[in-house]
Amino acid sequence: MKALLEVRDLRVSFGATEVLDGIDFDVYEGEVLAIVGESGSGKSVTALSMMRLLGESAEITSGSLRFSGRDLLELSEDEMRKVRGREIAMIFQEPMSSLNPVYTAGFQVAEVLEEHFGYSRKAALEKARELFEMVGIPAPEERLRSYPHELSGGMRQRVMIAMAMASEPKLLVADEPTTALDVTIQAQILALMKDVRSRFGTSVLFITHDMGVVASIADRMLVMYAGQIVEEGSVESLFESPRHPYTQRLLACAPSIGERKERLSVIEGFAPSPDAYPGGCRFHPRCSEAIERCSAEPPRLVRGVRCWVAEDS
Amino acid sequence: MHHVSLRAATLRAVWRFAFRRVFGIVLVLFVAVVLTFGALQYVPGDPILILLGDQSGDVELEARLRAEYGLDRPLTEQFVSYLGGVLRGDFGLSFRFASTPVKDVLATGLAISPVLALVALVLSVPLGIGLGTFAARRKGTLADSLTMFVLVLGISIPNFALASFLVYLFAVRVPLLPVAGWGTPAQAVLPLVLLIVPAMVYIGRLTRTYLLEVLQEDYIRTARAKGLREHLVIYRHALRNTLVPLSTSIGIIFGGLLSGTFVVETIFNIPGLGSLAIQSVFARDYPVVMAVVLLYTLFYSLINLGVDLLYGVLDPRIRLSS
Ligand SMILES: Nc1ncnc2c1ncn2[C@@H]1O[C@H](COP(=O)(O)OP(=O)(O)OP(=O)(O)O)[C@@H](O)[C@H]1O
Ligand SMILES: [Mg+2]
Repeated sequence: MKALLEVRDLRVSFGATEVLDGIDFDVYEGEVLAIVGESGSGKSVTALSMMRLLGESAEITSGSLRFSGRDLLELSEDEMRKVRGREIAMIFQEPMSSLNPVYTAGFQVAEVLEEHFGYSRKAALEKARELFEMVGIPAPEERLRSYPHELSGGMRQRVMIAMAMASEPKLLVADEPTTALDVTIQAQILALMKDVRSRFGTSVLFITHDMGVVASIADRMLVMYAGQIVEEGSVESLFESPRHPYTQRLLACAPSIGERKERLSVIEGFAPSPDAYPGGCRFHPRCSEAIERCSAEPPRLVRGVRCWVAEDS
Repeated sequence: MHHVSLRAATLRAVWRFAFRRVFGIVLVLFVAVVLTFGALQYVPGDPILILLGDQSGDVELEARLRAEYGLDRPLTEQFVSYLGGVLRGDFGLSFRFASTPVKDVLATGLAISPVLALVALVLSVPLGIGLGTFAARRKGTLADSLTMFVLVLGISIPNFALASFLVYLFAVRVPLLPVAGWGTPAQAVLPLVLLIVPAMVYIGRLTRTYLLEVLQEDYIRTARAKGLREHLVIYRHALRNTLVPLSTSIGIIFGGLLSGTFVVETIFNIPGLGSLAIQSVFARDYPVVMAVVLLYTLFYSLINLGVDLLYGVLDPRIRLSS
């Protein structure tokens, strides 16, 4: 399979605090890659790095993001802007606050087409209507003129998806797009994303902490802990035989799909904060299988797992 | 069908809103009439005696004047006729200018003060928003610090000090601009500067604060994630949202500018409502003072109404709910 995006040794710091410690992964063409992990493990920072939208307080200190043949980190701000929303689109967790309250839903979708493809307002709104239809918004003609506060959470997320798909991007980055939604709506949005993905062949980087969601949508998954990838592999193999004790625990505690969980708080102990990551393996203080070596020497990601114990077995 | 009824409901809501607001303004004005009229009964000095001056022995003239001013009638009758007059825009006769309707005394000032305040507002709002945006976009840079320094300076310098400085500068040092009087555009420059500086500075600081806040919002991140050019992110998405809270402040500033004309008119000897009011107070020309008070009450009520309407235009979330 061909890689659409190759992330190598990505490091991100907020001031003196390093929150991403050398992330490596590929996103293949047409696949859905899930990133899972507890709150604070660096999922959103990873996602925003792909868009170079981390904000001024963050610095990408090293690494490369090869995307269709060029390194996104080397692009000028203006070149990067043309990638955003056109080749890589992003949808967010909070469908309420992610839409501008003073503009209509139709306008906010039309904007993408005007900006990147020079559509006239009229043509852009017509295309927006088609997109609304595609994402299953009832009465699309009228919803074009609706303001965000007049729409339900599920409808708003559909608008966000329409906005993201307007330019038929090669990569869709979705940061917990269903977390804020009711269970039934969650399932509908997941179904829609699967539909959209197969229709356009878009690759999806799907961030979630819900294993049920991973099982339902993803082809492969990355497990993140404390700013590192601790395990990666196909969803099938990881669900079948997780090797890292952290992954094992995540899966053991996973609620079945639909069951609502705000945050993964099911593993004893607290996720460490980035300014005080433990030495050795960052998971060892919470790990029931830790051996002496785990506290002394940081393990590397070897054949898809970052664990001394799993590596040996 | 569904939408027709929604439309009708909206229209009904709008009418209810309009009715409530107009009723509110009428009520406020009525209270203002009662208060000013009441206060008039307690002010020292008999205006008719003042009007008579050295003819104070003339009993016949005194009686005639009392009748002309309606002061010989019982208080309730005076009040009712005053109220009736106000409704018709008739504020009675001036004491200072014998037998002249207050209306005519006010005419000159009415054409100056509100216009002065309005022009100052129209100029200071874009200037202030421009300055605040300039500073916010350069947050943390030298340009931001310098702008903020100027803005803080603008707020800290008392208005009268700035006025004295300007008058000194132009009257004594570089006589480029007239420092008194009214009638030519040049004469309006210094008064306007004096009104605009504090208003602009205030709006500038608010704009910077609000804009920095809005720039943290999720929908700004969405706008950037869409690949919009930076000026669209700032002006279309961010600044447009700061206008919602700013509109309240702009109403307050307009009120401040209206009362600011009192000071400016006095300093620059402009025959506006402010200097008229002050002269009338000293001349015990109470009907004129009352009329000015009522006019300003009306202005403030209208500004409030204007701000609420503006709010509805700027923020779709409150278009219906209020
Ligand atoms: N703007 C910021 N300034 C400082 N630290 C930040 C900032 N944004 C994120 N961090 C830190 O970076 C780390 C990773 O955060 P991130 O938002 O990526 O977590 P996450 O995995 O997305 O968690 P969640 O499941 O809660 O969304 C956290 O420790 C967080 O405190
Ligand atoms: Mg997150």
